[in-house]
Amino acid sequence: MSTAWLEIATEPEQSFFKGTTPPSDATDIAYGALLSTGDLRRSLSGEISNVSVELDNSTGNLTSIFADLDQLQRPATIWRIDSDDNAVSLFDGVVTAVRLSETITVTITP
Amino acid sequence: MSRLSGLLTAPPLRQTTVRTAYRDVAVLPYCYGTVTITPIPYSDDNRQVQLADHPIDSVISVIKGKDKYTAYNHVNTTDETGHAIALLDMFDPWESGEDLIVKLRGRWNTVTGDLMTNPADVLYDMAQMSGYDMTYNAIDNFRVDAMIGHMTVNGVLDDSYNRTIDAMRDVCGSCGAIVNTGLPGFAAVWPIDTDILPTWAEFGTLNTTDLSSDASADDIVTVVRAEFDYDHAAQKYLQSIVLEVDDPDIIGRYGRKEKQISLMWCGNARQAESVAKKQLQYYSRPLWTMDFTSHIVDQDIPPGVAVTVSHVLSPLSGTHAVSASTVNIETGLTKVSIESPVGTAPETTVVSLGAAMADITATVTHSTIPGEVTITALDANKTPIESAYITLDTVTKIADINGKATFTAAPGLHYVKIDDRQGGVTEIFDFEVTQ
Repeated sequence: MSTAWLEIATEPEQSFFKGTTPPSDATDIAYGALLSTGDLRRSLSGEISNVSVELDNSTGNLTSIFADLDQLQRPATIWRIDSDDNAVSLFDGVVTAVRLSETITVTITP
Repeated sequence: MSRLSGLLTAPPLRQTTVRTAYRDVAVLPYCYGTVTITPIPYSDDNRQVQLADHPIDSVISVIKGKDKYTAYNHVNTTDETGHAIALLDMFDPWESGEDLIVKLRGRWNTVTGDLMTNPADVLYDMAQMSGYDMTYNAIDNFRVDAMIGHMTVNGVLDDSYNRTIDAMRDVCGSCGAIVNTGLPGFAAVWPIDTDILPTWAEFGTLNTTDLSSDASADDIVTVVRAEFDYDHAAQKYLQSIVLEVDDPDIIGRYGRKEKQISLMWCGNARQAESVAKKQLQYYSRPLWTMDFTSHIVDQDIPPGVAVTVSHVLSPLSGTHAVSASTVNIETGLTKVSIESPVGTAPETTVVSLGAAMADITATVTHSTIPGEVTITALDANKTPIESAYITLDTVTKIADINGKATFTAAPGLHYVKIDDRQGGVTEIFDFEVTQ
């Protein structure tokens, strides 16, 4: 299982991870709701595309967490545990859009 | 022609081709409220010009060439076709290439006899003209709200509009309202106050599907710049007002993101500020746009009605106004859209208010008394501004009926500020007073 997770710098910070056990480096408030992270595309010109993160909201358990849109325009980081068991920042940006239904799509812009 | 199609085509204004005496082909305009226009040549000797294609209330001022012109009569009459029109009879002919600018009060309300400035009356007038079937009382709710809110509109209906509904949207946008043929009452103050509306429908888990909500930081603005007081003769806005969110947290989070709005039918600063403030308070907050499909076949859900939503996937709860509805003609199911900002409306502050293009000017004349000068405040049409605040250095006086105030000043450069008390302010930092 991938050990990537999303961290959003709300107050307090929130993390969204896969599975049921949060990574040891995750923030205190963490939800096991991460379904997938989009690809990170970097071009020769230096352009870095947006990255979308899908969260599971099939039971509506994250609806109230996103209802106030406190996540919008907050810094966000996608982390992953590397082979040496260190937390590595893969992507930094800000949350620029949220789409909420049975899944929640968080768009992060570098 | 169907009821609606009249609003979706160009306003049925007459053209100068209705009579052979006109020299150039042009659309004959309708004038509402107080407007400044360039008239249309009417008579062969260029002494008569047409102001509007209907009778008007009065002419306020005329600029001919570069000067104020008074040798005229305003005449409400009929043309050869029997159509009621407004003419300006001038003692001198309108010379080729010469400016002719007329400030006038336009169309009457035929029901009340007053100058037609209530936006509901203007909408009704446009609807009647366009063949849209609507009674005078059908728009009463908005008429009363506009009266209570002191909303007025001033503008010209001409060939700049391809569709009558676009002119109606400009009218409503200029006073902080919306118009929609599906809206109960045709037009309403924006944002719609759902507290005073009956609940049209209740939506929950059992009668909705495909519920999703979107929000984007791109939609957020923290500064609104509103242009208003449009001069139809000069074809430009004379004034502008800038409002900013008075909340460091919001500015710090989203930055200074400006939205410009053009209030073509708004003639006063108070209303421009009110419209800009409403827009800023709405769009400076994160905004959910929620869509869902109602399970109920053939359910009529017009835009503007109040509905309640209670659903585990809905970030919004309580009562909201429907912002759009789309009926699938095949299935009879309706897709409903709701839009709502999150949190409480922030405070706003006016950061700039003044003449957009420095159209307010001042002239100085010297008295025979040494050291005494008279400053005249003039608007964009060089018309004296009665009761303007005129400041010379640190002394402020109120202009008389001729826009004049007298001061004592030594020769040299002085600071002059003209405040027309209607939102227009001009500052001159090197106003020269000679011996």
